[in-house]
Amino acid sequence: MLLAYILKRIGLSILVILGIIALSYIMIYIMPGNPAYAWVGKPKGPKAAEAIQVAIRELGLDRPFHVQLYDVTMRFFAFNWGVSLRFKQPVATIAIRSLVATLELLVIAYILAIPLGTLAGTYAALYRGCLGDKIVYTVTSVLIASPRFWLAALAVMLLQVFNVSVFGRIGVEYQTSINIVTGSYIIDSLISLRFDAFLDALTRALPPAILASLYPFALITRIVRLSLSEKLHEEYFRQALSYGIKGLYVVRRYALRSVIPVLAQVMGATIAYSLIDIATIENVFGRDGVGVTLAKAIPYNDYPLIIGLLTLVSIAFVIAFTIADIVHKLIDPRVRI
Amino acid sequence: MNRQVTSMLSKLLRKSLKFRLGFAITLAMVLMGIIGLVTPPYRDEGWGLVTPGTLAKQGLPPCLPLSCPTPLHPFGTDEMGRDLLSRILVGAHIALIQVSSVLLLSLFIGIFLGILAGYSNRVIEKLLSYLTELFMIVPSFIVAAAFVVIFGRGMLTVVMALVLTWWPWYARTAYTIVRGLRELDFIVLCEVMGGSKAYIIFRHLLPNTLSTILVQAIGDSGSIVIEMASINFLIGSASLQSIDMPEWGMIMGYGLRYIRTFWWIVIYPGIFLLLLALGLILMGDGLSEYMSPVLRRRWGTWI
Repeated sequence: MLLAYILKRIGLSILVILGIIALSYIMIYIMPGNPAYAWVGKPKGPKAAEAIQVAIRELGLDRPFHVQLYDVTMRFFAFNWGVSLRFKQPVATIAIRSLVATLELLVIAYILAIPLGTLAGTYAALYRGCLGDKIVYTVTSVLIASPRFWLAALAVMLLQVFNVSVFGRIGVEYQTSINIVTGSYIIDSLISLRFDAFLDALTRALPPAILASLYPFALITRIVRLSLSEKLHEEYFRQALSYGIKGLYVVRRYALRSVIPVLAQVMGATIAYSLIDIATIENVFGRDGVGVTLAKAIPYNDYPLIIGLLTLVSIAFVIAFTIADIVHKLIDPRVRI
Repeated sequence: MNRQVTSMLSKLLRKSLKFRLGFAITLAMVLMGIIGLVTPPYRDEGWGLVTPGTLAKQGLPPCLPLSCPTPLHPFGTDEMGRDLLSRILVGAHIALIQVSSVLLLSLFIGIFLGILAGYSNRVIEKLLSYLTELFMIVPSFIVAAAFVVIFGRGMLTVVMALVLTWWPWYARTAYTIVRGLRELDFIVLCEVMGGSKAYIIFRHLLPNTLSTILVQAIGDSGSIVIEMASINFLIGSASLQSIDMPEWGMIMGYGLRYIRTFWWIVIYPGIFLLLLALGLILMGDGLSEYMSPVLRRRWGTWI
């Protein structure tokens, strides 16, 4: 039963991944005028005609649509996604590199946000209606309503006052001294046993990660507060209390457990919003993640890179959601497709 | 129907502090938008045109808020010497139009496809669930970047990108509700008595889904404000075509490169973004607490 569910879920994910590849190709196809013209960055000058010819061959625009679709899928799985016009490097390299930088922040942000959010939410639910709850509610509402890139700009101003430099992903002096394995400087510096570089990379990652964690923190707090205070009114909770079991033990052992499925359900959407936050925060802090790469690609009309990023980030999401669903299923046997 | 809505509104305003606060803030923003449309202090500068006044100031650093030569620049001027307050005021109605158009379009598409998926044959149901899953995954800001390259920059491009990635949430909610409803007795009886599908959809399914989804939508609109501003901040300000649009996110995006010296260009539009989003979120919270009796219960039985 469990195996059947996992297989079914993975099958659906593969279908979605194929759909994303098809969608990204359709996005090339619907370009008004000649798609090849935009694919090579709207060229002008004597070599323009030649560049367009190359693009037509690259995209296979002279062949029927379904053959093109098949080709593009095959090309995708061979990591042959074209050459970036802005960086003059293969798109796959740049896209994966920037995704790793973004994931670095995402992981740190969620490591911070999940426990803190659960704690604050539990506190607010237990003392619902008291001053502490009102403070938690107000703070989380303001955090959800405030544009995170604006908070990042404030943080940059603050750090400027204290003369702290946390721009970029790692100091220039360390950049060449560690060998790149995963693309994440935090992990790479640990692998090459350079703890000074590790500390530098971590201190540069922390301020943006804290800013990125504000939104998931606020959302998790609100969700835990709402669903836990609902659970506290259910019969089993009163029953357990009347048996003389300690209140906090019941909360930890039973009530909080029943909140986990609710949290797991909204986590997908939360991560999707967080990604935009992280993209803008990266832009403020000058870290070369997805956001900065996109911002650099747009003035050059770097269409291959944008489509490559679109596909890669979506597929990373699909994989993350699938894993989350399967874990969710392992925890909670009631969930079915 | 109309009287019902007004009576509910007055009840909400009387009972819920959150809703009252949110409603007041949102109303103030709407007023700001109207002022920005009718009489901003410097209309041309607000819309981003270069006037003789700004031309004379070109090359000079922008003036600090509250220490400008004229008292009419309370927020200072931006990097091109344009009055920041006028730009923010003109931007208010743009933000409101963006939010409401994204919300209405995605609600329309989402409810339509959700009901279609929940109340038609199995093939369409599977296909639409698949499409919902697909568009839920696609990150909106990268779609926006692609659309900017395809169609050029503009408000419509970002609205399109956001609608494309926002409707699945409403479609999913509508689908879940309709799937629960279609097994219920009154729908089955209606079918047996020969009610047509269109009749059942418009008479029974739509009103039953609408209230839940509308409450969800008002709560979401705060996130739409932020997401829209984020996309404009990142994507809109990246393309170097023109810089006249007084959209809040875009003003901040261009101001970011001057953050170390001219901080007010980024800070002031952000305060208004925060206020608008906060108003919408508080309104959504008050509304959902009013609609759901579980949340309205008196608390504090424990401790």
